[in-house]
Amino acid sequence: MTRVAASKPRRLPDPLSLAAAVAAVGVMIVELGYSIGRDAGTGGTVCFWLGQGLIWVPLMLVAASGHATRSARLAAVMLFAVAQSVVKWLYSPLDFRFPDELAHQTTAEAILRTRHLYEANTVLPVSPKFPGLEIVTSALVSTAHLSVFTAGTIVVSVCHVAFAALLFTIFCAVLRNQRVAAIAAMIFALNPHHAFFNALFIYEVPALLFAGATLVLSMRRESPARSVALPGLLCVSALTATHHVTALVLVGSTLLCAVVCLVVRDREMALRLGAVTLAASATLSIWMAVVAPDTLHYLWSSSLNSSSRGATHWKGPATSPEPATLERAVSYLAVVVACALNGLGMLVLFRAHARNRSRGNGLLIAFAIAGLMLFVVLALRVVTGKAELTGRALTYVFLFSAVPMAVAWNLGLRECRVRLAFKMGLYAALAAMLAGFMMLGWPAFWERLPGRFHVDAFESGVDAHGLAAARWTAVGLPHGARIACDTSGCNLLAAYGGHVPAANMSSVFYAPTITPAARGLLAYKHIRYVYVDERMTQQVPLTGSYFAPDSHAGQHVRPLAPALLAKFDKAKEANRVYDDGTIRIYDVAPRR
Amino acid sequence: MTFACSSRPLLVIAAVYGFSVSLATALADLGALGVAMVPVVVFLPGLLWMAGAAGVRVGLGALEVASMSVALSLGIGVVGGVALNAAGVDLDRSAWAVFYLFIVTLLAAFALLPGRDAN
Repeated sequence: MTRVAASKPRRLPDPLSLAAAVAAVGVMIVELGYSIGRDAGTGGTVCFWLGQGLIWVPLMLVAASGHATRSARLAAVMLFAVAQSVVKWLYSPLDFRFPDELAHQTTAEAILRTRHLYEANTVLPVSPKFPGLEIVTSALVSTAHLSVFTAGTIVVSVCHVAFAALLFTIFCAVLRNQRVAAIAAMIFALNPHHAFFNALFIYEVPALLFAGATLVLSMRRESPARSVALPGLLCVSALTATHHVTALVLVGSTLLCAVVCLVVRDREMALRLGAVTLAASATLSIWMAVVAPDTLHYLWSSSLNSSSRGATHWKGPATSPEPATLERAVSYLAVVVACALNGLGMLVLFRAHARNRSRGNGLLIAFAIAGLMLFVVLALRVVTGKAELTGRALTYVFLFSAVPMAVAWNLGLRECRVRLAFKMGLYAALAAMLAGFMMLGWPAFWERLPGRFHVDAFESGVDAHGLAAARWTAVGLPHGARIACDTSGCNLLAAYGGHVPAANMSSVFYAPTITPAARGLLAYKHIRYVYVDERMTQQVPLTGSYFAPDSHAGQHVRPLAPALLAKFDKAKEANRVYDDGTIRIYDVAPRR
Repeated sequence: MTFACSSRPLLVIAAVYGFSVSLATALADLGALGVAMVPVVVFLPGLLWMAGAAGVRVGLGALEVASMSVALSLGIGVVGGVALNAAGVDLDRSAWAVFYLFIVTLLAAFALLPGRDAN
């Protein structure tokens, strides 16, 4: 009797597990790039881009696969968000560094110190009026005895990842196709600010989660309206207390969707979204009337004063360095690909609607119409040069334009299934969007890798010297002292020292001596201390400004003359209370 | 409408969890720093397991249920914080209440979130 060995079929590794492992290697390679950057070595940028590619490619393949399950697609979308959060954390694993993060840290520290909300914040005055992020963070700090940095990192990372899942659910409700929904969620994650900025400790991050939860509850037809009313109201209320712009976007977008649904006779969805519009409008109006009456003024002045910080590819400050030609070309290509996909997708959706194929799906048509905003925002970017404002707006625009883009991209993939070269071209187009929009987004290219100090230049303007000085002031100076300082110094002194930075003090630094006018300004603003970073005499600010605001903004072609800062050593009224060789702090209170 | 799993054991766990957090907070306030993290660490695997169980039973998916639960629990934390502050309550002393609120909401959401049948 012969024994025939049964040949067992070889089990291939699960694609999702494989993709997760490759993405993890990608994160490791990005961190290798960061380490090289901190050591001022070469090859860090190559590692950064290689790692980003290894993170995105396998997860995109799973999300767009024709055979993946719904759970696998969702897991791929969430893993991409996890990787983004980890990469952001690895950039600065011990401290917050971005100015807005430091502003929100200031608000959180104030809540922990005063044990109540709404304590004034001179760095970002609107932040205490929308304290949702800081409430949750301070509760975690108080309960678990974590630092604000640790608790804040946990909160924003959880929000960033959970939002990715809810976004997938929203796109499923709109597209009624889980594969295209996963593609749309991955395309949304390519928007310029999502990889890094939307993973920072800023109030927009939990707000996006609350907005996403509201949309899921209102757009899922499977959930009866009565059962989602209370959770929906809860999410709208939390959103209102967390972020003004996201709440306004929710009002506008649900209104648009409700009107379109009404037009295409999708009355049930129109009613649900109309109810959300009313609830969000009412809570936001009450909040802005009672708690934050200066919000509209803040938003208006912010939009007027919005800087061109961020991408400098099109028109940046005069002192900004120019990005490499290849980088510039890839970012232009990303914009072209996004516009082409968006336009084509809108055309497909409108034609399908005209043929009655999607009649009744008002949400799909509403998202296609809202996709027009992509062209509007990009046109505004070119005309006004406001990179910061339009960059942030693209987060909200991609929420809608990701749908037509995904439809167009999927159509190309489906029509050309047999032609491998074309298929690879489609993936390459999205890869160009990934790279190009990261180049246009945050952090700016001169600080893409951590480690190199640039005076008053956002993340790279914060280093061990600044952190040590700010932490010393928390114990070495009386709490709440008014201080004249440069931009990075002011952010650090407010966040870590609990002090009050004074605005419009650049004339004191630019005066050749402490003139009677400068002395008068110090007295008028009740300035007790002056914070001096010696590196202002060694570097030109890449952002165009040493101070916020700077009377010489955009005019710096050489560093400050050393004598401008040395004058504080010579002045009789200035008493040096801190000096580490790089940063000096002077007590300038009038002597009696 | 289907339910993720029975709400009774979850609410019992929520209560135990809440008391643990309260006790640990008191211990931490007495100087035993780090103790407050014990219930979080002990119960985190349980939370993850429940998210998985919930996802198997409803079509929404474990990860979506977990994400929605997180959104709701953070939302109640924010609204609770605003309400406590409006009532003049010391937010540091009541932090455990905010934390407890969002843990209970997290668990209740796991239990009660409606979904569709898996297919």
